[in-house]
Amino acid sequence: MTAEKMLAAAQAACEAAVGAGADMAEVRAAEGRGTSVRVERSAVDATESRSTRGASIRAFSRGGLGSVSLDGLDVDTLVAAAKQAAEMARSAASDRDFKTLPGPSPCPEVAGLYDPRIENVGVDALAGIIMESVQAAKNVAPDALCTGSADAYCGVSALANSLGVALTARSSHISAWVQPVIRRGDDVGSFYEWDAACRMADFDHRQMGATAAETAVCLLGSGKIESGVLSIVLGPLAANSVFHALAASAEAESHQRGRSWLQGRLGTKIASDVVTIHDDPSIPAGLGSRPYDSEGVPGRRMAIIENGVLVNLLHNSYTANKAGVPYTGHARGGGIGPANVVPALGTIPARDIIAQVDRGLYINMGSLSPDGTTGEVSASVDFGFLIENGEITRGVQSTMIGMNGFEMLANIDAVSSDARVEPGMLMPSIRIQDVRVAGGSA
Amino acid sequence: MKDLLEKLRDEGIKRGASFVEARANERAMNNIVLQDGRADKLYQRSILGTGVRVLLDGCWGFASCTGASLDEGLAALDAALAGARATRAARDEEAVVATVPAAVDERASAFETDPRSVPVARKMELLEKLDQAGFAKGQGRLVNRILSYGDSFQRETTVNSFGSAIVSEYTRTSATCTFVAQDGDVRQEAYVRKASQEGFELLERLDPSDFTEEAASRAVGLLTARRAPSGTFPVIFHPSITGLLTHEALGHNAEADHVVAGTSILAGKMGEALASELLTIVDDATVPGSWGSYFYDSEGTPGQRRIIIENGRLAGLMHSLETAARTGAAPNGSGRAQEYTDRPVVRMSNTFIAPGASSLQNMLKDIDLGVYLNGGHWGYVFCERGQFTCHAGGGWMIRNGELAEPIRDVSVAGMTLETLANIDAVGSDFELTMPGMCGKCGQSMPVNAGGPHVRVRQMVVGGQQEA
Repeated sequence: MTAEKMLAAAQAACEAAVGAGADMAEVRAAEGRGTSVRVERSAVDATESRSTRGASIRAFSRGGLGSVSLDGLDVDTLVAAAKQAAEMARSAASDRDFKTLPGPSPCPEVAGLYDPRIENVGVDALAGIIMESVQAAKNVAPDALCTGSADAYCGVSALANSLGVALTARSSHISAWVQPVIRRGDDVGSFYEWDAACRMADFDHRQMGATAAETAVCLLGSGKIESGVLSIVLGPLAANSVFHALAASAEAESHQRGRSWLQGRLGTKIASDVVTIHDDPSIPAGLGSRPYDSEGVPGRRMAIIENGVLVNLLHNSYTANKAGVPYTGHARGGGIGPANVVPALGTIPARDIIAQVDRGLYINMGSLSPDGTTGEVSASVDFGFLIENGEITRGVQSTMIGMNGFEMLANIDAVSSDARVEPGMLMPSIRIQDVRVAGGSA
Repeated sequence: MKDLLEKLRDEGIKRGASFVEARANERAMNNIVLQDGRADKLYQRSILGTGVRVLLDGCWGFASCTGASLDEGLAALDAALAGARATRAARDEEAVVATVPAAVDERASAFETDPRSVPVARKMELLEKLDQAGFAKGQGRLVNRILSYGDSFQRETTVNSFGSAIVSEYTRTSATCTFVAQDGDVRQEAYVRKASQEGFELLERLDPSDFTEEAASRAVGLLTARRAPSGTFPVIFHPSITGLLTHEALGHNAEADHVVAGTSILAGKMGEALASELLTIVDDATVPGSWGSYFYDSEGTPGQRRIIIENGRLAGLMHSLETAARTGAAPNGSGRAQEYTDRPVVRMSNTFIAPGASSLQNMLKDIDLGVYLNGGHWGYVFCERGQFTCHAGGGWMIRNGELAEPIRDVSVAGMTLETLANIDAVGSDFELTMPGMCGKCGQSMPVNAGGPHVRVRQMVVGGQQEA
């Protein structure tokens, strides 16, 4: 189906919902095709091809929501579903905090989100990509058993609402991941690497297998450590998960509902001076980029944390209207979420940050984020190493960290000047002082 | 639907596939979200689509399409065959499937009241009553209350080249409440979920004292709990979190696709003693009405009771048709697919530790300083290393053989083989009360988990302060 026909069907459904008694309505429709090749034991295991089309309809009556999602895009089906959504909205309790859906706004194009070359990536090409990655891993560790996959997706979507929003977009995505497992007797080392892009020119899987295998080799011989209070350095992937969690914790709904650990902290200092985070949906070809959010509101680069101060929350139309603030363009599938989380870089290279640690942990990958409600951290060090006298020495296992989230943010004393770069993503390393580490060694 | 799938199967065989499986999934789901006293969000989701999996010259191909038309089904079959052909050169050994007897059957899960026949106003009325009971129990400390009700009807139709033609219908109902309590800077959350294969009677019979009042009491109680200790301790698991330990520490490693792929620490250990004789672990897809039960898996093999650990020895794994053929085992009905867009993957159903003989008092009395965990929240495992993490809803310190002060925000971690070997007491009680969704390979499947109280001699506790 063409984007124009899809939009026309979405608009017809909006009209039907309003005709059936909804105060206002919104329809998102999408069609796409995805292909995957999965690898197991270092050889191709299976291929998958998915052809999908469907729509999601939201109708509002006195603020109450009726939402219907369905597979299929024919107009009659959408119109019937829209009427059903309107009926559900009328049955729902009213919500006086709901004011209105957004009206139409100019949405500047974000370049590089669709690459027709990805349409033509077939199963054989994906098999080639993932098998090259497997070979790269085996060049480092011939005994590695690799699991992984390569995936490509292209789709078209339309968004309409009863206030006149009428938008279409095309998107493409290609990604691959590989996980080499190296087993030597009872000793096991493994790691995971990935690459992803919206356009072929940004996709580079060549280093992925080798990097994963090198880290997996380093994790062989991991052992237990003693408990203590240590400095920890989060590598780019682990730090990225913390930054993402912080951005997600700035979503306004959880603040307005009183369930966020950062509630009431807007405008106050929540982290050390070295922490600055922006969200930017307009980065060309960014993995999280979008010309408009899921309600049709364009986004812009926006600071979330500036020198440790929480300066902005992320809003959809509901929360922005409730708070009486401008839209920020962060609606995502009925909820709220960041686009591209971009931390500000520091002044010291990651190797120097590590070199300054006498005894600590280097954490390569893992989720060490504060709980979204309580703000407490109680997490495993899944892929971590001991730092001794400024050098990474050996892998650790059966190790956990525990800390209060505010203490953790206040104790971030360094953000690296260098970073891993992926489309739309900037991933520096960070150091956190005085972290309580539970080790499995007596 | 069966006719369409049989045509696709026959066409696949005609085009040279040695095995063909055509599957359709129809699903209708309704959800109501009541937040802070207002049921102001109603959701409905319908799913209908077709998936075709072929084995051609020893290579797998799978493709799916929205809807249930012959034209699009044939296009999906073409794509599946093309995928298999395109990867022939990159495959190092031929894929195989074990043969199972053909089954032609139609089954439907039991319910008393079809949720689809109940007016939404009645559902909202019951939710509001439950919410009010919880609110009253919250001592004015609850700052956010979310109740979520869901019902779903699913019909999965599987036809394969063994001659099987299975129609399985499942009616599932669930109710979840998540309450947040606050006192000054301390904010705590409690979560209670009820979910099973039954009808609207689940909501009608829900006792607030076991649901919203329980969540309110827990959330408020956690406000005065202390932060968890950091270090290595003896740990007792309440039955409400034993299931999480079982699922994460052992269950995923006993999925035979991990063993075949070389990513399970159980590879090559069949028959070995991994734990004390106290420990027996079962995955049982036949528990009546349980959230994780099913009649047939998505490959058309009957769901079964599988003993994974028997008196401490590794006794079996969960198998799909392929992993059974690869390892010389019998298929035991573990190949499950979430939707028509997904190929079957080896999955758990209802996984639990069988009851033993110990009492909680006996478990406690030997512990000078330890941790008692309650309420499984979430967990994960890296199967290849057998390294797992479980997060609890809360717990208590154990001091001098007795439960002492409550604790909050606590996770524990361990290595699977070491932890199994360290289980030194298994309780005589039993609960199968962790109905949830398990994620694997991008698919989310309904599972349940449980067991009795168990004691682990030593585990790492990731707390925020000293004991």
